[in-house]
Amino acid sequence: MTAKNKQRIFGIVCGMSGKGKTHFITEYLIPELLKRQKPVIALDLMDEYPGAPLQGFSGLVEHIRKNDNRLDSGMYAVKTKSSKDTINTLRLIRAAEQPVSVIIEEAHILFSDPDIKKQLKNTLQEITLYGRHYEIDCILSSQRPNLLSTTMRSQAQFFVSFRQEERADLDYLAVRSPLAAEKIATLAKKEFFTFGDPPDGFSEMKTDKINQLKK
Amino acid sequence: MTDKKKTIHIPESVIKDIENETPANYTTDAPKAEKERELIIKSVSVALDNVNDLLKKKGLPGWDEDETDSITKLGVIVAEKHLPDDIFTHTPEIILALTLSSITVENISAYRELQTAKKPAGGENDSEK
Repeated sequence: MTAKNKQRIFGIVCGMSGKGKTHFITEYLIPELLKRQKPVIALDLMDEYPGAPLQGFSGLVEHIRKNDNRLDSGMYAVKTKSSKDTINTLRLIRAAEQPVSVIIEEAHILFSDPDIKKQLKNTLQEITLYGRHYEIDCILSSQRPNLLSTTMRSQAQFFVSFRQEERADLDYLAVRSPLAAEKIATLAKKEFFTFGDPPDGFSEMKTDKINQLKK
Repeated sequence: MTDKKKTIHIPESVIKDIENETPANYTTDAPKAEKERELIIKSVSVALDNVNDLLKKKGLPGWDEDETDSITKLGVIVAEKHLPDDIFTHTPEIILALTLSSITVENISAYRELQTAKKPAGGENDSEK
């Protein structure tokens, strides 16, 4: 294992609806995250993720309690049916201060509500800023990267972008990578552009190039 | 090579703290309803902007800037009627789909006709149709 493998992973997967974000996460990112042998918790808003289905925060807690307050490595899809489920699950991850990978689906929705944003700011900012010490990996999926919090975006090590057309999102991506912004607006379905510094083992992610989903 | 399998331990006190603490923004139903309404308005507004852009890109007549507020209000009425209790389970795509299911080009034409009819006497009689 290289030193880089040990680092926490923090990435943003973005792009318009139906272009391949969730497919990319389930087919490519999750298998790589699982190799790290930590619990992988997806905040599964749309019932799209594999793994043990847990009904909201209470389902997660029930599972943990049944297992003597332990969570084994593996994939868990927490069906977040309310903002409370989302916030509480994140608070649990933050408070546990232990190695976990978390996938937050449709993250821009959470950031569109001022009060949820406030809650998230406290919790996610802490996960973002201090999570490195506890090896908390974080993958954010969003149709609108421009609507995510500045702190989250600034901490992202890598971006995987499927096609984007919204001007504000392209402008933001252009700040991070002028080349990316130029290519992203022209990507076909299932094509994606990666930039930043993806972790070792993520072989599907050739940086600063147009990649294609193989499946 | 993979890492050693990790199991994490979550103390009961951590779980209880989270279970027992009710964050300020969901203490009562009324403020939550207001917040959900704000989110519906925002989501519908974003969804409709996207629809308008799409229509115009396809060379179809969308709506003008001065009509946006009224069209959004219409969208909010539709979304509130169709959306289940918890808005947060819905992505803008679903709201968009729900909105589109009712706000069709015909509805927009009907809306315009209604607005034209509401104009004071002496205004134009021309219908867009």
